[in-house]
Amino acid sequence: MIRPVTIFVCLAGAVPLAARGEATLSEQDFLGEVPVVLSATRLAQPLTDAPAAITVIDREMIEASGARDIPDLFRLVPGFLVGHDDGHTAAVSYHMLNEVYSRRMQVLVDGRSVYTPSFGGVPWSDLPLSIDDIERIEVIRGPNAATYGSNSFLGIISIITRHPALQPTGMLRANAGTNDIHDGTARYVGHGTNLDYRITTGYRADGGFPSRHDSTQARYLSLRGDYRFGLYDTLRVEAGASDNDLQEDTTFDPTDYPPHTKQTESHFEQLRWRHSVSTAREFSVQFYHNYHNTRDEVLTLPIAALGGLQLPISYSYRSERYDLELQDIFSPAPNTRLVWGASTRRDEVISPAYLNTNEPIRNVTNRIFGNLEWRKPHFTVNAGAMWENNDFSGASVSPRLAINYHLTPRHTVRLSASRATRTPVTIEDYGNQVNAVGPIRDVGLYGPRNLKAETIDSYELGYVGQLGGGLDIDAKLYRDELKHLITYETVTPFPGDTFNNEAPVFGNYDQARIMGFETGVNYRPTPADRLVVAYAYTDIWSTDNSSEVQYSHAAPFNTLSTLYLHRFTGQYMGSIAFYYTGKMQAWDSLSFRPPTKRLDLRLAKEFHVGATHGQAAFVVQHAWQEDVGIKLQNISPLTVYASVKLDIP
Amino acid sequence: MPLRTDTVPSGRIPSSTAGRWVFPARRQGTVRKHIRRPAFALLLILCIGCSFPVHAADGLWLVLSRSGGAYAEFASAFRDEATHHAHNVPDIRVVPLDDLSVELSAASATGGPGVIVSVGTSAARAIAKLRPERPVLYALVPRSTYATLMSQYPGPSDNSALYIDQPYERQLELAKLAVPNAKRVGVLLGPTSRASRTALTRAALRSGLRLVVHEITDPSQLIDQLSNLLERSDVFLAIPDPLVSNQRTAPNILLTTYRYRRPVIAYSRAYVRAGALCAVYSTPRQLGAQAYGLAAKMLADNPGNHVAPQYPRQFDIRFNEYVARSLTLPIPDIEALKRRLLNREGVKR
Repeated sequence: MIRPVTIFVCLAGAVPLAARGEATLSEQDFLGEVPVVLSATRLAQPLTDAPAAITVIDREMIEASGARDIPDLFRLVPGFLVGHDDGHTAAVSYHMLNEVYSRRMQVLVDGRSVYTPSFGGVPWSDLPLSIDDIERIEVIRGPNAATYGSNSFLGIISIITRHPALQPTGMLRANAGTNDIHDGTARYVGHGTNLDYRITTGYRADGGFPSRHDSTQARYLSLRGDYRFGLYDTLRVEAGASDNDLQEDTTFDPTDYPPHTKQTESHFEQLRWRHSVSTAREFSVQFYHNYHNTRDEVLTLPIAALGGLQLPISYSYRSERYDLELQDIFSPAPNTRLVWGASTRRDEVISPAYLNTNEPIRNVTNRIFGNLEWRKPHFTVNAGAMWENNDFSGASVSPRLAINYHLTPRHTVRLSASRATRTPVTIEDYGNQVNAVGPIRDVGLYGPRNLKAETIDSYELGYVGQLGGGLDIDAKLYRDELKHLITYETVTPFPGDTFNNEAPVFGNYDQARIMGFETGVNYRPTPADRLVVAYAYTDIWSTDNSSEVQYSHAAPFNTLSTLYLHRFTGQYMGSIAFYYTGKMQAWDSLSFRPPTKRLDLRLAKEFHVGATHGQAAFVVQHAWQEDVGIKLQNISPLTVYASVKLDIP
Repeated sequence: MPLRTDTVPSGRIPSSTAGRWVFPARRQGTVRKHIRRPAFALLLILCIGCSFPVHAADGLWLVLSRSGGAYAEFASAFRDEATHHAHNVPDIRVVPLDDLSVELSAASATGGPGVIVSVGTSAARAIAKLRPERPVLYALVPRSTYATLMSQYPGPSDNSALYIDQPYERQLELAKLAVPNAKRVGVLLGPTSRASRTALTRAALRSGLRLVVHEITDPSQLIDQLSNLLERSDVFLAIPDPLVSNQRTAPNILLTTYRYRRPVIAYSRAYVRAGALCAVYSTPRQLGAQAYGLAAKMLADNPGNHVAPQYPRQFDIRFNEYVARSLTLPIPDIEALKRRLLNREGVKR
């Protein structure tokens, strides 16, 4: 078998070594063509023209935050909430977070959608992605299906990795600290005339929450190659795989789920061909495949109702996604830009444990999308829509309209209205978890196969201010109307359940309205200082028809986060991050999670050993107090770790 | 086999030169349809006769590096400019680069051209090696290449050049107008362009900008040094260099500068299309017209009256609207910008 690594190395060998310049210039250096690299999709739309509130988490913020895991970064975004089911299962959501699978977010890594079709949510610890390879994260706060596709419901997280051409040849990183933190990352980058590629491999381990059986051992390998052919064409190939051992337990009755270890394997392959004749025009074709497999087999504790019998139970599931997308960007008239495209996707879930069938459950989603941007000196209009049809919930249209009025070049006011839908995930619509012993059938989850898609109508009044002196502010007042919210409710009598005649059944039980205000500040008073502040006030009203999962307190009224960093002389950088989260509904109890304050500190020193550029850092997390999670049993004590990173040119 | 550049390649028979009277040939084409009367035919013969090199030493030879494309544009503008001075049009002949040495030795008997205009680097190199005993105007050449050729093949002092590069003052002025808040201009120099460090510093001083210069000696240092440089500068001025800034390195320069959100002031139209904020550059047409003026001056001037190498007088400016918007920079009115640049240069002259 030819392994991807071999192919990469062969390709690298086929191109000449690093381009050596010729001795003299010629007129062709002035008159000749230059490959188009800043294509339309690479150029970020200015925040003042964007149809939604956007927060960008850049490399400097990633470093200064001291975060080891990607989900922790989203605490820096206004209105975002981060929770953990256990040490390796993080949930990131916007405006509401009331369950461990954050199903209402679109999450993209280099344009590849990574939320799972099985339970929804993102298996963050299974992503074959090093935090060191991330260039920036664009967080779109609000629905935007016309641009980001299905499931762009509450918001979108778009992770963009760094182009290998911009990375040094070698990188090594090691982290070690309390709570069994052991991380190692190694990256090799090859630079050629037309091909730049990287291979990153890493290991991440920690002990999870001290009171839980939830340690992580994650291993991953990722590849990216950017091949340029001709002046206008590029082919980007990405692939990755991860193989994790994750400890599991439950904060509820442990009989069915005693402490054990589960295995997850995932891999992906992604190809993107881009034809771009100028920064204004681009045509691209993208194909990717995601594979995720969880092997989770347990032997129950003795079950009293069955005379102390211990049963083998499976919680395994496997999901795959194939996605093909075409996109065309051009300017049909002066001051306008049209982005349109189409895609087809096949999601497939196999899980005898949760679906009670050996057959895969498939969902094919086809969509057509378009967005027209029209710019005038004083305003910008973005009008877009996505039409989608899928096997689970049928056809829907997600339109969006935004008008950005530029009061002055520094002050922009935005009015926008958008609608998006969320298709039920496989477990919600087709779930059928049955544990059977002889004639006794206990139904653990049931999907009625007739669920409607959830809808959100979001209206906002936004402001973007670039006030000069290094001060940027964004603010928004909004109102979200959510309908057909899917949760489960214990239904009794449930004739299919011969154990206790009841079962949790998914349904479109609830509606909710979220109103609030949020603001983000990015202030660079001097090149050595930076302050990032995010504040959100969130008020949720909900029908709360389901007694199992409620929405009314799924977000605290107030959240505040601040990150301050300073570069000292002598190559030192210090940073302080403070996060306040108000009282909110806990996940594992009927009571509330108390307000929490989290304080993280980081001190880093840069150094040089020959041409190698190094950075040593010392990070203290939860320095203020023990941090009580949204699951009250998830308590994070003071954590300290040291990190050394070497960039080898 | 040693390369023979100063003799006729073996097996190649120098063809008749009659078919290459480009200028008369054009005239024939336009006049032919009017040949109805013998008197016209006579006039035609007279016309053709007039344009023959009666005074061969007064003619201009255009030696193009290649046919077609930018070189043809240059030649056509050169001729158009000549016809504007119709009262005294010198004879203009396009001589293929391959036939140059043969033509030169053949012409030496009759006196040959008054001035040779080389168009492009290949032609410049071939002519510099031949060291013709005629004044040469090296046009469509980068300044550094001209300097290298002159030091490698020192020739008579009555040579001159019309550079393809823009003067640093003009590029810096554009940087100032395009990025109003910029104070520090980053420049990355290589082994070739490092010679211009002093000239750049002087130009920056005059324009009131602070120059931040880094030098590299190996392509592998590019990204690292560029990143360092961009942290210390507000705008990046691309200076053409065979090692640092060329078609191959442009993609990495654009990716890196965009990552730091620093605008690039470039020197070619293609660079702007690929993602630079803006560029000031001269088209082959503009250069062709200016070259004619210089060549005519060299032809007319007394020996010893040296025409100094020149920068392009006419230029175009192009902005990438998408890059400007993405970097939240204003898109200026190009014509107004050009006028401002010209005015400032006029004042300084």
